[in-house]
Amino acid sequence: MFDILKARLKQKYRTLSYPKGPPPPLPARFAGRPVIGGRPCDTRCRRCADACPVGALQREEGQFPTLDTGKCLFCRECPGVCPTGAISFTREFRLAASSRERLTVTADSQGIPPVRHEIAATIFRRSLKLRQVSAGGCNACEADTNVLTTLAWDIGRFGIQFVASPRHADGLLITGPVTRNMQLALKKPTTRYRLRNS
Amino acid sequence: MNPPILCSLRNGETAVCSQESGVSFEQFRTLLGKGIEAGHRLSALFVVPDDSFDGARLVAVLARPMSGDLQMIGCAVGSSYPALTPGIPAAHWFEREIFEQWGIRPEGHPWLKPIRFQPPRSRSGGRPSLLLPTVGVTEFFRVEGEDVHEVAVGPVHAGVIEPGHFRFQCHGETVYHLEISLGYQHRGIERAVGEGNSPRMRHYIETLAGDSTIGHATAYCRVLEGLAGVRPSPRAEAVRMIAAELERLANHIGDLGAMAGDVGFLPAASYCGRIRGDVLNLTAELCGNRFGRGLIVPGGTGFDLDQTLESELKRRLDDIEADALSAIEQLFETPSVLARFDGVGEVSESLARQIGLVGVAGRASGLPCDVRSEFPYGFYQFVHVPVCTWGTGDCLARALVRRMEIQQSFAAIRALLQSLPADRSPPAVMTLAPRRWVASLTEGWRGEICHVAATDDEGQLAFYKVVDPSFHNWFGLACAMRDQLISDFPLCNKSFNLSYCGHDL
Ligand code: SF4
Ligand code: SF4
Repeated sequence: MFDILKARLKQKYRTLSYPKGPPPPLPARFAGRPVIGGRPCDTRCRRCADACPVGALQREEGQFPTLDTGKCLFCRECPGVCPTGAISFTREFRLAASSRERLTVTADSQGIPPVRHEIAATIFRRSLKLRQVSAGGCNACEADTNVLTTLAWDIGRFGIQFVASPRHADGLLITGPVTRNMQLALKKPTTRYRLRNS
Repeated sequence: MNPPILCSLRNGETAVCSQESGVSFEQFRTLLGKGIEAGHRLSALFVVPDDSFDGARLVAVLARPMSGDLQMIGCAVGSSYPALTPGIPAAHWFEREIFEQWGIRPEGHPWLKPIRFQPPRSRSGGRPSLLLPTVGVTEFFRVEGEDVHEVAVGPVHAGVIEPGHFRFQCHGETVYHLEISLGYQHRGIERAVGEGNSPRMRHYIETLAGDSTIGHATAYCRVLEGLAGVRPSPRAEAVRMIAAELERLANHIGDLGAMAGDVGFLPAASYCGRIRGDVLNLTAELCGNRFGRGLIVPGGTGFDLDQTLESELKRRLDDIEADALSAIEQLFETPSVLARFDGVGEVSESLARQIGLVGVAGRASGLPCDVRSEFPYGFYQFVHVPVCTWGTGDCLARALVRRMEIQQSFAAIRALLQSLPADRSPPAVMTLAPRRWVASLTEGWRGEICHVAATDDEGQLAFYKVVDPSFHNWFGLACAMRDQLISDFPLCNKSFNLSYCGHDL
């Protein structure tokens, strides 16, 4: 018992003060929200679009490319091949968007898209129960979702909790691209949610 | 693209395709049987469609720890062949896979059912058939009797974990039998990578099992490097080893925490959960990604360390080590925890050998299986990491093996950071040799990862096979649950902590 308490003292208080305090330090090589523009883009060049392994970059003749962060792997192939430096990755980690289109970054994009839903924020204030369904990802999403409940992040502080049944849940968190074999299993517990295709 | 008939290769060495038809099936079976008896491991068993006749080649990769080499054996088979499983139980999951993927029937297989519910692959190389199996619909093993009941769990579980279906045949609390039915995470990565050159291949491999990104990416890069005859610089090899040991550290620490959580010892559970994140953050310092994406690239590494980063890593590693060792010590000094781990979910050494367990689970049962020392690759050729085994094969053993490996990994990383080779050469260009075969083994944190590949006449990848350690070990979990209490399943499951997506591919 004494040893347990001693170890407890040694492990210190570790819960982050974020969002009230500063965010935790990000690794120096972290790639966050991309920005396009700032430097001119060569009108005849297509290098970034050709280099992108997932087709996240679209390039119309004579215009800056657009970058779909819904597809992007953040592999940073594109800034490496760009001759003018028109694409770069910032350290902005707030990447969420409330619609599919808003995930796309263009030369006109300004700042981070707003995601706060005022009505939802009032209803679920300090109590939001989520059901997580994993459907064809690589388990990294699940791993990092679990990190949110560790004592460092402790999202329970905000009343956000992952629950064991869709019956207890206010919302659904789906990870992965949804494999064919998960379609049915995903439909069953989700029928009580209205899935919007956006 | 026919496999070599019979050859022995070092880990990552290539062999030329053969024009001949391979050994006879009888010889094939005898070679395998004798090999397994002599203590070799079945690292892979698969079918390759044959270009020349209406059949296929059955290929086995036998890992031979005594001679430190891999034996590749090929033989021709038609639409069916006598099953190997009755004589070699370790082949049973492979043969189910062969039947599911190619429709080639191992006659006399005791348990021939789908393992992934994936569409059958066409031998002529066309698109897969439209006859789609329905996931989870198969004949489950059932125990009949008055008091016997069945418990079905999944595919969607209560926690934040991957999908899989478990069926227990119980009598009261006691589990007579557990059947594990997977395939929900099947994405078709193996086929996609085997279809040749796409810029996505490295990314597919990196997300094959996200927690083993380094292990799989290293196996994949070594396949390409073998085929191209390229050697990464010693510095790149050292960085790869640091990354691999960080991956092992993060997962082992996380697993001990999860096991602590399952027996209700919350202090260690919460410390370990946090410390695991701290280790992942070190990987993120290396490459910007907590799981190591983009770090291992064909020919070398995508990122290098400079002086500042080196000392930063050393400093943070020291802090993490102090925290981790204190948290783990708590776990192993609490009698109620030891009592819960002890004797739960035992797999004996002989059973482990028979069913072909690998990695942590194998070593916990007393098998000295560790690719790092048996078939050293990369920087493990220069640095010896001791093999940590235990003999009892229960949850306690699997926890103890992790504890020992955590200590070894800390020491190994520190030693590497002390003396990183200086040369920095950029990754070379990869031109793959045509008509070659290669088998590459790495030791992921779960265990042996095996990648086998072949190139066609143009030097493009034409065949790719991935065997994740979970492929060998899921059946081990089922065996460990025999005669155990169903309430011990979460603990047993965590003690194996197998990958669903790594299995399903
Ligand atoms: S970072 Fe990679 S995936 Fe994302 S847009 Fe650039 S090239 Fe494409
Ligand atoms: S952003 Fe750079 S790489 Fe892409 S088209 Fe413009 S100049 Fe070329």
